[in-house]
Amino acid sequence: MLASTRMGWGGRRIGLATNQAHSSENTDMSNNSCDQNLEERDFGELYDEYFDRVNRYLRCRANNVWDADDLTTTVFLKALEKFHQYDRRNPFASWIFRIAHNTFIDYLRKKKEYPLEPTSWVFEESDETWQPERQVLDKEQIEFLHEKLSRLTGDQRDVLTLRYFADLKISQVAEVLGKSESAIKMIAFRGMKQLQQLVKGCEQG
Amino acid sequence: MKDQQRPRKLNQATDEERDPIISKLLMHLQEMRESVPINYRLKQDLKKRLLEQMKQMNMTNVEIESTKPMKNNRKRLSIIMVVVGVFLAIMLFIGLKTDVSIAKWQQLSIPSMDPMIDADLSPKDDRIVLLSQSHLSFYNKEGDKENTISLPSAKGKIVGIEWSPLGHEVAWVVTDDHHTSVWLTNIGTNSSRLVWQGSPTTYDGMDWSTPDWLLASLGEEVWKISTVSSEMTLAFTGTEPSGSPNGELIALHHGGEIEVWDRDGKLIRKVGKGQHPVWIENDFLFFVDERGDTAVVHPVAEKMKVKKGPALHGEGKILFIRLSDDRKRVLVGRVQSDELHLWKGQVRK
Repeated sequence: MLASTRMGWGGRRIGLATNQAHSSENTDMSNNSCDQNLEERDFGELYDEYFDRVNRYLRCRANNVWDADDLTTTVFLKALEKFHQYDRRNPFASWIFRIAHNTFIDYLRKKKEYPLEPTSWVFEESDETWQPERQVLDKEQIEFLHEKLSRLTGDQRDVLTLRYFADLKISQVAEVLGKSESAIKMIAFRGMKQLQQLVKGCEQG
Repeated sequence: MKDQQRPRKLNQATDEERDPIISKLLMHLQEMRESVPINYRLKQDLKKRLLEQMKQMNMTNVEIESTKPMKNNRKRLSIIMVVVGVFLAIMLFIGLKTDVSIAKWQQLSIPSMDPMIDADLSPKDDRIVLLSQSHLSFYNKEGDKENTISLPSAKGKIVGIEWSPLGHEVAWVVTDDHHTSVWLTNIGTNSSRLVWQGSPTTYDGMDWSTPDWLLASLGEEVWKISTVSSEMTLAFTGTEPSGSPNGELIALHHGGEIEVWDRDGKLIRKVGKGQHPVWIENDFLFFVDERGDTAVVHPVAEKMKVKKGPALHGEGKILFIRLSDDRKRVLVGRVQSDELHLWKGQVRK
Protein backbone atom coordinates (compact mmCIF):
# COMPACT_ATOMS: atom_id res chain seq x y z
CA MET A 1 0.00 0.00 0.00
CA LEU A 2 1.37 3.31 -0.96
CA ALA A 3 1.26 6.07 1.59
CA SER A 4 0.25 9.10 -0.40
CA THR A 5 0.12 11.54 2.47
CA ARG A 6 2.63 11.99 5.20
CA MET A 7 2.54 14.65 7.78
CA GLY A 8 4.86 15.57 10.54
CA TRP A 9 3.76 15.62 14.12
CA GLY A 10 5.94 15.95 17.12
CA GLY A 11 8.93 15.21 15.01
CA ARG A 12 7.55 11.89 13.91
CA ARG A 13 5.83 10.77 10.79
CA ILE A 14 2.15 10.08 11.18
CA GLY A 15 1.22 9.92 7.56
CA LEU A 16 -2.02 8.17 6.79
CA ALA A 17 -2.31 6.17 3.64
CA THR A 18 -5.25 7.37 1.60
CA ASN A 19 -5.76 4.19 -0.33
CA GLN A 20 -9.51 3.82 -0.48
CA ALA A 21 -9.54 0.15 -1.28
CA HIS A 22 -10.40 -2.31 1.40
CA SER A 23 -7.25 -3.62 2.88
CA SER A 24 -7.12 -7.30 2.78
CA GLU A 25 -6.72 -9.41 5.80
CA ASN A 26 -3.14 -8.71 6.50
CA THR A 27 -2.77 -9.97 9.97
CA ASP A 28 -2.14 -13.42 11.05
CA MET A 29 -1.04 -15.32 14.05
CA SER A 30 2.53 -14.48 13.32
CA ASN A 31 3.85 -11.21 14.56
CA ASN A 32 6.55 -10.40 12.12
CA SER A 33 5.92 -6.68 12.14
CA CYS A 34 6.53 -6.55 15.85
CA ASP A 35 9.85 -8.26 15.55
CA GLN A 36 11.50 -5.12 14.26
CA ASN A 37 13.91 -3.55 16.65
CA LEU A 38 12.80 -0.06 15.79
CA GLU A 39 9.36 0.77 14.47
CA GLU A 40 9.89 3.06 11.51
CA ARG A 41 6.48 3.02 9.90
CA ASP A 42 4.29 6.07 10.11
CA PHE A 43 0.87 6.19 11.72
CA GLY A 44 -0.94 5.58 8.47
CA GLU A 45 0.91 2.38 7.77
CA LEU A 46 0.45 1.18 11.32
CA TYR A 47 -3.25 2.04 11.18
CA ASP A 48 -3.67 0.01 8.03
CA GLU A 49 -1.98 -2.93 9.62
CA TYR A 50 -3.49 -2.85 13.09
CA PHE A 51 -7.05 -1.73 12.45
CA ASP A 52 -8.23 -5.23 11.70
CA ARG A 53 -6.66 -6.73 14.78
CA VAL A 54 -7.94 -4.03 17.08
CA ASN A 55 -11.39 -4.10 15.59
CA ARG A 56 -11.53 -7.85 15.81
CA TYR A 57 -10.28 -7.90 19.37
CA LEU A 58 -12.89 -5.39 20.45
CA ARG A 59 -15.62 -7.14 18.53
CA CYS A 60 -14.71 -10.28 20.39
CA ARG A 61 -14.90 -8.56 23.70
CA ALA A 62 -17.69 -6.02 23.45
CA ASN A 63 -21.27 -6.97 23.70
CA ASN A 64 -22.20 -5.73 20.28
CA VAL A 65 -20.55 -4.65 17.07
CA TRP A 66 -21.66 -1.07 17.47
CA ASP A 67 -19.91 -0.67 20.77
CA ALA A 68 -16.89 -2.52 19.37
CA ASP A 69 -16.66 -0.17 16.40
CA ASP A 70 -17.09 2.88 18.61
CA LEU A 71 -14.35 1.53 20.82
CA THR A 72 -12.14 0.93 17.79
CA THR A 73 -12.67 4.53 16.72
CA THR A 74 -11.83 5.72 20.19
CA VAL A 75 -8.69 3.62 20.28
CA PHE A 76 -7.25 5.05 17.07
CA LEU A 77 -8.22 8.60 17.93
CA LYS A 78 -6.41 8.20 21.22
CA ALA A 79 -3.49 6.59 19.45
CA LEU A 80 -3.19 9.47 17.04
CA GLU A 81 -3.38 11.94 19.85
CA LYS A 82 -0.69 10.16 21.82
CA PHE A 83 1.40 8.95 18.94
CA HIS A 84 4.18 11.35 19.82
CA GLN A 85 4.50 9.47 23.13
CA TYR A 86 5.02 6.16 21.43
CA ASP A 87 8.53 4.84 21.95
CA ARG A 88 9.47 3.27 18.66
CA ARG A 89 11.91 0.94 20.31
CA ASN A 90 8.93 -0.99 21.63
CA PRO A 91 6.48 -3.00 19.51
CA PHE A 92 3.56 -0.98 18.26
CA ALA A 93 1.29 -3.94 18.98
CA SER A 94 1.89 -3.67 22.72
CA TRP A 95 1.29 0.05 22.63
CA ILE A 96 -1.90 0.03 20.58
CA PHE A 97 -3.39 -2.90 22.45
CA ARG A 98 -2.66 -1.29 25.77
CA ILE A 99 -4.78 1.58 24.56
CA ALA A 100 -7.38 -0.85 23.25
CA HIS A 101 -7.48 -2.82 26.46
CA ASN A 102 -7.70 0.26 28.67
CA THR A 103 -10.43 1.62 26.44
CA PHE A 104 -12.28 -1.62 26.80
CA ILE A 105 -11.87 -1.55 30.60
CA ASP A 106 -13.35 1.96 30.63
CA TYR A 107 -16.16 0.64 28.48
CA LEU A 108 -16.85 -2.15 30.93
CA ARG A 109 -17.00 0.30 33.83
CA LYS A 110 -19.53 2.43 32.01
CA LYS A 111 -21.44 -0.67 31.01
CA LYS A 112 -21.76 -1.60 34.65
CA GLU A 113 -23.37 1.74 35.29
CA TYR A 114 -25.60 1.54 32.24
CA PRO A 115 -26.02 -2.15 31.36
CA LEU A 116 -27.18 -2.96 27.87
CA GLU A 117 -28.74 -6.11 26.54
CA PRO A 118 -25.90 -8.09 24.95
CA THR A 119 -26.26 -9.00 21.33
CA SER A 120 -24.37 -11.55 19.35
CA TRP A 121 -21.61 -10.26 17.11
CA VAL A 122 -21.01 -13.55 15.39
CA PHE A 123 -24.33 -13.92 13.76
CA GLU A 124 -24.80 -10.34 12.73
CA GLU A 125 -24.66 -10.41 8.97
CA SER A 126 -26.37 -7.08 8.56
CA ASP A 127 -22.96 -5.41 8.40
CA GLU A 128 -22.42 -5.09 4.69
CA THR A 129 -18.69 -4.86 5.15
CA TRP A 130 -18.50 -8.25 6.68
CA GLN A 131 -16.36 -10.54 4.65
CA PRO A 132 -16.91 -13.98 6.14
CA GLU A 133 -14.74 -15.69 3.61
CA ARG A 134 -12.57 -17.14 6.31
CA GLN A 135 -15.31 -18.31 8.52
CA VAL A 136 -14.61 -21.98 8.95
CA LEU A 137 -16.55 -22.61 12.11
CA ASP A 138 -20.27 -22.80 11.98
CA LYS A 139 -22.50 -20.56 14.03
CA GLU A 140 -23.01 -23.10 16.74
CA GLN A 141 -19.31 -23.74 17.18
CA ILE A 142 -18.49 -20.08 17.41
CA GLU A 143 -21.32 -19.40 19.79
CA PHE A 144 -20.22 -22.36 21.80
CA LEU A 145 -16.65 -21.13 22.14
CA HIS A 146 -17.76 -17.63 22.90
CA GLU A 147 -20.01 -18.84 25.62
CA LYS A 148 -17.23 -20.91 27.13
CA LEU A 149 -14.85 -18.01 27.03
CA SER A 150 -17.32 -15.87 28.86
CA ARG A 151 -17.24 -18.36 31.71
CA LEU A 152 -13.53 -17.86 32.32
CA THR A 153 -12.22 -15.39 34.86
CA GLY A 154 -11.60 -11.82 33.78
CA ASP A 155 -7.81 -12.30 33.77
CA GLN A 156 -8.10 -15.46 31.75
CA ARG A 157 -10.38 -13.80 29.23
CA ASP A 158 -8.02 -10.87 28.97
CA VAL A 159 -4.99 -13.04 28.43
CA LEU A 160 -6.60 -15.46 26.01
CA THR A 161 -8.30 -12.84 23.92
CA LEU A 162 -5.13 -10.79 23.74
CA ARG A 163 -3.07 -13.88 23.04
CA TYR A 164 -5.31 -15.53 20.49
CA PHE A 165 -7.61 -12.84 19.16
CA ALA A 166 -5.31 -9.87 19.24
CA ASP A 167 -2.44 -12.11 18.23
CA LEU A 168 0.04 -10.82 20.76
CA LYS A 169 3.12 -12.55 22.08
CA ILE A 170 3.31 -13.51 25.74
CA SER A 171 5.68 -10.61 26.37
CA GLN A 172 3.32 -8.20 24.68
CA VAL A 173 0.32 -9.48 26.61
CA ALA A 174 2.36 -9.04 29.76
CA GLU A 175 3.14 -5.47 28.78
CA VAL A 176 -0.47 -4.66 27.97
CA LEU A 177 -1.79 -6.07 31.21
CA GLY A 178 1.10 -4.89 33.33
CA LYS A 179 1.99 -8.37 34.52
CA SER A 180 5.05 -10.54 34.31
CA GLU A 181 5.47 -12.98 31.46
CA SER A 182 5.44 -15.92 33.86
CA ALA A 183 2.17 -14.68 35.32
CA ILE A 184 0.71 -14.40 31.84
CA LYS A 185 1.89 -17.88 30.99
CA MET A 186 0.30 -19.20 34.16
CA ILE A 187 -2.95 -17.37 33.53
CA ALA A 188 -2.97 -18.56 29.92
CA PHE A 189 -2.29 -22.12 30.98
CA ARG A 190 -5.04 -22.10 33.58
CA GLY A 191 -7.41 -20.43 31.18
CA MET A 192 -6.77 -23.06 28.54
CA LYS A 193 -7.18 -25.83 31.06
CA GLN A 194 -10.40 -24.28 32.23
CA LEU A 195 -11.58 -23.92 28.69
CA GLN A 196 -10.53 -27.49 28.01
CA GLN A 197 -12.59 -28.73 30.92
CA LEU A 198 -15.55 -26.68 29.83
CA VAL A 199 -15.32 -28.12 26.33
CA LYS A 200 -14.74 -31.64 27.63
CA GLY A 201 -17.69 -31.33 29.93
CA CYS A 202 -19.88 -30.29 27.08
CA GLU A 203 -18.59 -33.04 24.80
CA GLN A 204 -19.08 -35.61 27.55
CA GLY A 205 -22.48 -34.23 28.41
CA MET B 1 1.46 -17.86 4.51
CA LYS B 2 -0.86 -18.21 7.41
CA ASP B 3 -1.04 -21.93 6.98
CA GLN B 4 2.72 -22.08 6.97
CA GLN B 5 2.94 -20.14 10.13
CA ARG B 6 0.39 -22.00 12.15
CA PRO B 7 2.58 -25.07 12.62
CA ARG B 8 5.48 -22.82 13.64
CA LYS B 9 3.25 -21.17 16.16
CA LEU B 10 2.17 -24.48 17.50
CA ASN B 11 5.71 -25.75 17.53
CA GLN B 12 6.55 -22.85 19.77
CA ALA B 13 3.67 -23.67 22.08
CA THR B 14 4.09 -25.04 25.51
CA ASP B 15 3.61 -28.67 26.36
CA GLU B 16 0.20 -27.87 27.72
CA GLU B 17 -0.76 -26.25 24.46
CA ARG B 18 0.33 -29.37 22.64
CA ASP B 19 -2.35 -31.24 24.46
CA PRO B 20 -4.67 -32.58 21.75
CA ILE B 21 -7.76 -30.94 23.18
CA ILE B 22 -5.98 -27.66 23.75
CA SER B 23 -4.50 -27.80 20.29
CA LYS B 24 -7.97 -28.29 18.97
CA LEU B 25 -9.13 -25.40 21.10
CA LEU B 26 -6.40 -23.21 19.75
CA MET B 27 -7.35 -24.09 16.23
CA HIS B 28 -10.92 -23.27 17.04
CA LEU B 29 -9.96 -20.00 18.67
CA GLN B 30 -8.01 -19.05 15.59
CA GLU B 31 -10.91 -19.95 13.38
CA MET B 32 -13.23 -18.10 15.67
CA ARG B 33 -10.95 -15.09 15.52
CA GLU B 34 -10.99 -15.15 11.75
CA SER B 35 -14.74 -15.50 11.79
CA VAL B 36 -15.07 -12.17 13.44
CA PRO B 37 -16.17 -9.70 10.76
CA ILE B 38 -14.04 -6.60 10.30
CA ASN B 39 -15.84 -3.35 9.71
CA TYR B 40 -13.98 -2.17 6.63
CA ARG B 41 -16.36 0.69 6.10
CA LEU B 42 -15.39 1.92 9.51
CA LYS B 43 -11.78 1.45 8.54
CA GLN B 44 -12.22 3.75 5.56
CA ASP B 45 -14.30 6.32 7.39
CA LEU B 46 -12.02 6.36 10.37
CA LYS B 47 -9.02 6.78 8.11
CA LYS B 48 -10.61 9.86 6.56
CA ARG B 49 -11.42 11.19 10.00
CA LEU B 50 -7.91 10.57 11.22
CA LEU B 51 -6.54 12.19 8.10
CA GLU B 52 -8.60 15.30 8.78
CA GLN B 53 -7.49 15.31 12.36
CA MET B 54 -3.89 14.92 11.30
CA LYS B 55 -4.27 17.87 8.97
CA GLN B 56 -5.55 19.95 11.85
CA MET B 57 -2.78 18.68 14.08
CA ASN B 58 -0.28 19.40 11.37
CA MET B 59 -1.63 22.93 11.06
CA THR B 60 -1.42 23.30 14.79
CA ASN B 61 2.05 21.90 14.60
CA VAL B 62 2.93 24.41 11.94
CA GLU B 63 1.43 27.14 14.07
CA ILE B 64 3.45 25.95 16.99
CA GLU B 65 6.50 25.87 14.81
CA SER B 66 5.69 29.29 13.46
CA THR B 67 5.30 30.69 16.93
CA LYS B 68 8.73 29.45 17.87
CA PRO B 69 10.48 31.99 15.67
CA MET B 70 8.18 34.62 17.12
CA LYS B 71 9.24 33.56 20.57
CA ASN B 72 12.81 33.53 19.37
CA ASN B 73 12.25 36.92 17.81
CA ARG B 74 10.83 38.16 21.08
CA LYS B 75 13.84 36.79 22.84
CA ARG B 76 16.12 38.34 20.28
CA LEU B 77 14.20 41.58 20.52
CA SER B 78 14.60 41.52 24.27
CA ILE B 79 18.30 40.89 23.92
CA ILE B 80 18.58 43.63 21.34
CA MET B 81 16.64 45.99 23.58
CA VAL B 82 18.91 45.15 26.48
CA VAL B 83 21.97 45.65 24.30
CA VAL B 84 20.56 48.89 22.96
CA GLY B 85 19.73 49.94 26.50
CA VAL B 86 23.24 49.20 27.63
CA PHE B 87 24.61 50.95 24.58
CA LEU B 88 22.42 53.98 25.21
CA ALA B 89 23.42 53.95 28.84
CA ILE B 90 27.05 53.86 27.81
CA MET B 91 26.46 56.60 25.29
CA LEU B 92 24.57 58.57 27.88
CA PHE B 93 27.36 57.96 30.29
CA ILE B 94 29.86 59.12 27.72
CA GLY B 95 27.66 62.01 26.82
CA LEU B 96 27.32 63.08 30.39
CA LYS B 97 30.64 62.04 31.65
CA THR B 98 32.52 64.73 33.39
CA ASP B 99 35.65 62.81 34.01
CA VAL B 100 37.62 64.58 31.35
CA SER B 101 40.57 65.73 33.28
CA ILE B 102 43.89 67.27 32.61
CA ALA B 103 46.69 65.85 34.64
CA LYS B 104 50.40 66.29 34.94
CA TRP B 105 50.20 70.02 34.74
CA GLN B 106 53.51 71.56 34.04
CA GLN B 107 54.30 75.20 33.80
CA LEU B 108 56.67 75.79 30.98
CA SER B 109 59.60 77.86 32.10
CA ILE B 110 60.93 78.99 28.80
CA PRO B 111 63.64 81.57 28.90
CA SER B 112 62.74 84.31 26.45
CA MET B 113 64.21 87.72 26.09
CA ASP B 114 61.10 89.03 24.30
CA PRO B 115 57.57 89.20 25.59
CA MET B 116 55.63 86.14 24.46
CA ILE B 117 52.54 86.85 22.36
CA ASP B 118 51.28 83.43 21.40
CA ALA B 119 52.33 79.78 21.42
CA ASP B 120 51.34 76.50 19.85
CA LEU B 121 52.09 72.82 19.98
CA SER B 122 53.47 70.98 17.02
CA PRO B 123 51.07 68.39 15.56
CA LYS B 124 53.16 65.57 16.96
CA ASP B 125 53.46 67.28 20.31
CA ASP B 126 57.21 67.11 20.14
CA ARG B 127 57.86 70.83 19.93
CA ILE B 128 56.50 74.15 21.06
CA VAL B 129 56.66 77.34 19.09
CA LEU B 130 56.63 80.68 20.83
CA LEU B 131 55.72 83.86 19.03
CA SER B 132 57.35 87.07 19.96
CA GLN B 133 57.27 90.34 18.21
CA SER B 134 60.08 89.63 15.83
CA HIS B 135 60.65 85.95 15.64
CA LEU B 136 59.44 82.40 16.16
CA SER B 137 61.26 80.34 18.75
CA PHE B 138 61.09 76.53 18.70
CA TYR B 139 61.60 74.41 21.78
CA ASN B 140 61.71 70.70 22.27
CA LYS B 141 59.74 68.80 24.92
CA GLU B 142 62.46 69.31 27.46
CA GLY B 143 62.23 73.05 27.04
CA ASP B 144 65.48 73.41 25.18
CA LYS B 145 65.47 75.96 22.43
CA GLU B 146 66.07 74.40 19.04
CA ASN B 147 66.02 77.29 16.66
CA THR B 148 64.68 80.77 15.98
CA ILE B 149 63.20 82.13 12.81
CA SER B 150 63.10 85.86 12.23
CA LEU B 151 59.88 87.15 10.81
CA PRO B 152 60.01 89.32 7.74
CA SER B 153 57.48 91.93 8.66
CA ALA B 154 58.54 93.33 11.94
CA LYS B 155 56.90 96.71 11.48
CA GLY B 156 53.41 95.68 12.45
CA LYS B 157 52.06 93.91 15.48
CA ILE B 158 52.16 90.16 15.29
CA VAL B 159 49.05 88.85 16.91
CA GLY B 160 48.86 85.09 16.54
CA ILE B 161 50.30 81.86 15.16
CA GLU B 162 49.03 78.42 14.21
CA TRP B 163 51.09 75.36 13.42
CA SER B 164 50.04 73.67 10.22
CA PRO B 165 48.66 70.10 10.37
CA LEU B 166 51.61 68.73 8.41
CA GLY B 167 54.00 70.42 10.80
CA HIS B 168 56.30 72.05 8.30
CA GLU B 169 54.72 75.51 8.30
CA VAL B 170 53.51 78.02 10.79
CA ALA B 171 50.87 80.60 9.95
CA TRP B 172 51.03 83.95 11.66
CA VAL B 173 49.08 87.18 11.45
CA VAL B 174 50.48 90.65 11.55
CA THR B 175 48.64 93.90 11.43
CA ASP B 176 49.81 97.43 11.06
CA ASP B 177 48.25 100.73 10.17
CA HIS B 178 47.73 99.75 6.57
CA HIS B 179 47.15 96.06 6.43
CA THR B 180 46.39 92.94 8.21
CA SER B 181 48.34 90.09 6.69
CA VAL B 182 48.47 86.32 6.99
CA TRP B 183 51.89 84.77 6.46
CA LEU B 184 53.24 81.28 6.27
CA THR B 185 56.75 80.49 7.41
CA ASN B 186 58.37 77.25 6.35
CA ILE B 187 60.21 75.84 9.33
CA GLY B 188 62.65 73.86 7.26
CA THR B 189 63.71 76.64 4.91
CA ASN B 190 63.07 79.60 7.20
CA SER B 191 61.28 81.23 4.28
CA SER B 192 58.02 83.12 4.65
CA ARG B 193 55.30 83.92 2.17
CA LEU B 194 52.26 86.14 2.27
CA VAL B 195 48.98 84.29 1.72
CA TRP B 196 46.50 87.01 2.38
CA GLN B 197 46.50 90.72 2.99
CA GLY B 198 43.64 93.12 3.62
CA SER B 199 42.58 96.25 5.38
CA PRO B 200 43.57 96.46 9.01
CA THR B 201 41.19 94.53 11.16
CA THR B 202 41.01 92.69 14.39
CA TYR B 203 42.31 89.20 14.74
CA ASP B 204 40.80 86.52 16.98
CA GLY B 205 42.34 83.19 16.23
CA MET B 206 43.11 80.73 13.46
CA ASP B 207 42.71 77.06 12.74
CA TRP B 208 43.68 74.88 9.86
CA SER B 209 40.68 73.12 8.39
CA THR B 210 42.85 71.15 5.99
CA PRO B 211 46.54 71.40 5.10
CA ASP B 212 45.55 73.74 2.26
CA TRP B 213 42.92 75.80 3.94
CA LEU B 214 43.21 78.07 6.90
CA LEU B 215 40.34 79.42 8.92
CA ALA B 216 41.20 82.88 10.21
CA SER B 217 39.07 85.17 12.29
CA LEU B 218 39.51 88.61 10.83
CA GLY B 219 37.20 91.43 11.83
CA GLU B 220 34.64 89.23 13.62
CA GLU B 221 34.42 87.06 10.56
CA VAL B 222 35.86 83.66 9.89
CA TRP B 223 37.52 83.51 6.52
CA LYS B 224 38.56 80.42 4.75
CA ILE B 225 41.87 81.16 3.14
CA SER B 226 43.63 78.91 0.68
CA THR B 227 47.31 78.46 1.42
CA VAL B 228 48.07 77.30 -2.11
CA SER B 229 46.12 79.87 -4.12
CA SER B 230 44.70 83.35 -3.77
CA GLU B 231 41.26 82.00 -3.08
CA MET B 232 39.45 83.00 0.07
CA THR B 233 35.83 82.91 1.14
CA LEU B 234 33.81 84.19 4.00
CA ALA B 235 32.79 81.15 5.92
CA PHE B 236 31.14 82.27 9.16
CA THR B 237 30.48 85.26 11.31
CA GLY B 238 32.37 84.95 14.53
CA THR B 239 35.76 84.52 16.08
CA GLU B 240 38.02 81.79 17.50
CA PRO B 241 37.23 79.16 14.87
CA SER B 242 38.02 75.56 15.75
CA GLY B 243 37.48 72.69 13.37
CA SER B 244 36.61 69.25 14.65
CA PRO B 245 39.27 66.58 14.01
CA ASN B 246 37.24 65.06 11.18
CA GLY B 247 36.56 68.46 9.64
CA GLU B 248 32.79 68.04 9.81
CA LEU B 249 32.03 70.69 12.41
CA ILE B 250 33.29 74.12 13.28
CA ALA B 251 32.91 75.73 16.64
CA LEU B 252 33.28 79.47 17.01
CA HIS B 253 32.59 82.32 19.31
CA HIS B 254 29.84 84.63 18.21
CA GLY B 255 27.90 87.22 20.17
CA GLY B 256 29.33 85.98 23.43
CA GLU B 257 28.20 82.43 22.73
CA ILE B 258 29.76 79.27 21.46
CA GLU B 259 28.17 78.08 18.24
CA VAL B 260 28.64 74.86 16.34
CA TRP B 261 28.23 74.80 12.58
CA ASP B 262 28.61 72.10 10.05
CA ARG B 263 30.90 72.33 7.05
CA ASP B 264 27.98 73.35 4.81
CA GLY B 265 27.28 76.46 6.86
CA LYS B 266 24.34 75.11 8.81
CA LEU B 267 24.04 76.08 12.43
CA ILE B 268 23.96 72.92 14.48
CA ARG B 269 23.64 74.29 17.95
CA LYS B 270 24.24 77.24 20.17
CA VAL B 271 26.13 75.80 23.07
CA GLY B 272 25.96 78.75 25.40
CA LYS B 273 28.02 81.59 26.67
CA GLY B 274 31.73 81.02 26.59
CA GLN B 275 34.93 81.36 24.59
CA HIS B 276 38.04 79.51 23.39
CA PRO B 277 36.27 76.45 21.99
CA VAL B 278 38.47 73.49 21.06
CA TRP B 279 37.52 69.99 20.08
CA ILE B 280 38.66 67.21 22.36
CA GLU B 281 37.15 64.66 20.01
CA ASN B 282 34.93 64.80 16.96
CA ASP B 283 31.86 65.02 19.16
CA PHE B 284 33.11 66.70 22.28
CA LEU B 285 33.80 70.33 22.60
CA PHE B 286 35.88 71.87 25.29
CA PHE B 287 35.56 75.57 26.07
CA VAL B 288 35.75 78.19 28.79
CA ASP B 289 32.40 79.29 30.10
CA GLU B 290 31.35 82.75 31.14
CA ARG B 291 32.59 82.20 34.70
CA GLY B 292 36.02 81.30 33.46
CA ASP B 293 35.59 77.59 34.17
CA THR B 294 36.05 74.93 31.56
CA ALA B 295 33.14 72.98 30.20
CA VAL B 296 32.61 69.92 28.04
CA VAL B 297 29.67 69.44 25.78
CA HIS B 298 28.38 66.99 23.18
CA PRO B 299 26.92 69.59 20.85
CA VAL B 300 25.29 67.20 18.39
CA ALA B 301 23.56 65.12 21.05
CA GLU B 302 19.78 65.25 20.95
CA LYS B 303 19.69 66.46 24.50
CA MET B 304 22.78 68.48 24.94
CA LYS B 305 24.11 68.89 28.42
CA VAL B 306 26.99 71.11 29.32
CA LYS B 307 29.14 69.53 31.95
CA LYS B 308 31.90 70.92 33.99
CA GLY B 309 35.22 70.39 32.33
CA PRO B 310 38.69 69.82 33.65
CA ALA B 311 40.25 72.42 35.84
CA LEU B 312 42.97 74.45 34.22
CA HIS B 313 45.99 74.92 36.36
CA GLY B 314 47.07 78.34 37.46
CA GLU B 315 45.42 81.67 37.79
CA GLY B 316 44.78 84.53 35.45
CA LYS B 317 42.83 85.12 32.33
CA ILE B 318 42.96 82.38 29.75
CA LEU B 319 44.23 83.75 26.52
CA PHE B 320 44.14 80.60 24.46
CA ILE B 321 43.81 76.85 24.63
CA ARG B 322 45.59 74.64 22.14
CA LEU B 323 45.47 70.92 21.69
CA SER B 324 47.88 68.62 19.95
CA ASP B 325 46.61 66.74 16.95
CA ASP B 326 46.06 63.58 18.93
CA ARG B 327 44.06 65.68 21.41
CA LYS B 328 46.03 64.30 24.31
CA ARG B 329 48.11 67.34 25.13
CA VAL B 330 46.78 70.74 25.99
CA LEU B 331 48.60 74.01 26.06
CA VAL B 332 46.99 76.82 27.96
CA GLY B 333 48.16 80.39 27.87
CA ARG B 334 47.23 82.53 30.84
CA VAL B 335 47.99 86.11 31.53
CA GLN B 336 49.32 86.67 34.95
CA SER B 337 50.77 89.99 36.02
CA ASP B 338 50.65 91.17 32.41
CA GLU B 339 52.76 88.26 31.37
CA LEU B 340 51.79 85.21 29.37
CA HIS B 341 52.40 82.00 31.21
CA LEU B 342 52.17 78.60 29.56
CA TRP B 343 50.81 75.47 31.14
CA LYS B 344 50.95 72.11 29.54
CA GLY B 345 48.86 69.17 30.62
CA GLN B 346 47.78 65.71 29.61
CA VAL B 347 44.17 65.21 28.68
CA ARG B 348 42.52 62.17 30.21
CA LYS B 349 39.13 61.03 28.89
